[in-house]
Amino acid sequence: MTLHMNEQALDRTPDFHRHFQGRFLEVRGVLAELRGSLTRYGPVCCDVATTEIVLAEVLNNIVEHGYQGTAGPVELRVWADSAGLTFVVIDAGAPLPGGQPPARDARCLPDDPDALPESGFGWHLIHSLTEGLEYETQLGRNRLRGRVPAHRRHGGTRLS
Amino acid sequence: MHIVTRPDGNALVVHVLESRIDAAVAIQFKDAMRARVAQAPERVVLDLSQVDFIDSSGLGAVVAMMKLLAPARRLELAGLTPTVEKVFRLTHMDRVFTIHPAPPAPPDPDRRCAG
Repeated sequence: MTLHMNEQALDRTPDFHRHFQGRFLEVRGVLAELRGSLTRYGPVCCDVATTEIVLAEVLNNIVEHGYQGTAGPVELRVWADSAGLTFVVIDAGAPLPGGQPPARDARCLPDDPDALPESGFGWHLIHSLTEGLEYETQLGRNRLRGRVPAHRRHGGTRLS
Repeated sequence: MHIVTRPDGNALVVHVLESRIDAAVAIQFKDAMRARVAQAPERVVLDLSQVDFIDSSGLGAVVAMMKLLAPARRLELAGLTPTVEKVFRLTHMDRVFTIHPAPPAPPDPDRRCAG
């Protein structure tokens, strides 16, 4: 099933393109395929580990919150070039609360271990590792687009 | 969930023999850990040297385990691989846990058992 949206598509065919059911194990499988695919571009394009962290959070969010355990269709498109990696993820689950990604928070950790959060790390990771996040929801379709730049100030390890 | 435990002085070393602690296995990880640390001494050292990838769900499970052990016992981490280390650093959890750079001695192969 293809989820069509009024998107301003990038002007070339994605380097990686999958339709799959939103389940945790399917996300795992797609991420493994993407890893294999990105390795072909090697150091020119992407920090493969960073990309996997970001897309694991984006896709598992859809499984957990968008579809809430009832698997539905997910589409992932990825474009890789020397400046980094652009992704578009489309789903037909519940939209993000407020119709937009949670704001980036400057997380201050409490001193009391009992007060430490056990969730909410996902969007923090996505915000930390991406740029140009754009979200839109219309006609029952949600679309998130973002970029994982090739050179991160966090200095992630790059796969050779 | 393949986890092996080994007593080491005043610590219990927990070797996670899985390549990923992610959303697909976070609940299994928590359940397996809960069972194994029930009688743990004051220190529990979680050996993550075989774990290549952790996501926010896996991180949440590790934090939950630390909270379960506190305040009488503490959870320490060892042998973080680059991607796991990055996730801890970006979420500032590297400041919350004692992290040992070197992994503890590997489990005795004779005592390995699937969990």
